[in-house]
Amino acid sequence: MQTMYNRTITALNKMHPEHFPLEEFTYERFKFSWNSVQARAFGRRLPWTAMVPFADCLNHTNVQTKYDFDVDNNGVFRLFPTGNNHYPQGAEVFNSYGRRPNENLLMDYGFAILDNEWDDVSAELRNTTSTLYGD
Amino acid sequence: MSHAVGVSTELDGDELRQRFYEWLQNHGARFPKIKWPSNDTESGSRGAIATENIETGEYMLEIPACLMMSPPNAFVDPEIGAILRENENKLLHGDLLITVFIAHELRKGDKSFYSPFLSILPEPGNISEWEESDLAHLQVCTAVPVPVSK
Repeated sequence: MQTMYNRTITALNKMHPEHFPLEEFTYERFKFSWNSVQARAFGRRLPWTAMVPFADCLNHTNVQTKYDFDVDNNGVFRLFPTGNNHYPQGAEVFNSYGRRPNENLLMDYGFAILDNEWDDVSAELRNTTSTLYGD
Repeated sequence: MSHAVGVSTELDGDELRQRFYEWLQNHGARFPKIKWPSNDTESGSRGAIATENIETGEYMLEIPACLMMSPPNAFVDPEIGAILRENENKLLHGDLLITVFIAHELRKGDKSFYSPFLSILPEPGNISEWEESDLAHLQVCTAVPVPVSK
């Protein structure tokens, strides 16, 4: 993170010191911005990475949701439940951040969910044929 | 209440959320069946609640492009827009463009158009910020430590 800050902000400051003063583009501010983008931004179905206020306030769980953007040049980001997903009155409204195992959720967002269907374990299997049928 | 990294304001949490709501609505955001924040979730932690049934395929949340912190909106910033555009895909590849744009808006404080949004953002709960003692809870007590080669 420190390296990324140095490369980016120091370079901008060298080129345009009047617009990128180091005392205002602080490491803390940069880190907060970068971490907020990693935790909240949308991008997979957008032409670029972007922050979408309010859409980023929904919690994650394994539900089917989709979003679209600028359909027929409407200039709007829209989020909706898909598949067999819907939200009855009084239920929590979730968004899915993707098919993520707990390890991934914990590292990127600092939470995990119970009975996560995308969790996996790896087990090593040895070929025992030679033991069973060997001479 | 002062924000850790820039957006300084005298407002408390409820007032900040109220300002955020008004900002969203004044600029055409729509989410008529969603209440946020609410602690009436099954888990009890803060989340969003459906105030009426939301059907499959129903646009439950609509946010106009003008409210998004996106490259097109960054490029029209009077001070650094042109510089950001020049360095897009070069120095400011990937998520760096939006990161620098956010840092620039934080720097403007309450003068930023995005201040009602930025001032409700929590400190990101990335695991890299956790205390050692909390990280220790993630260890499986039955697991045997294995030396990792360098």
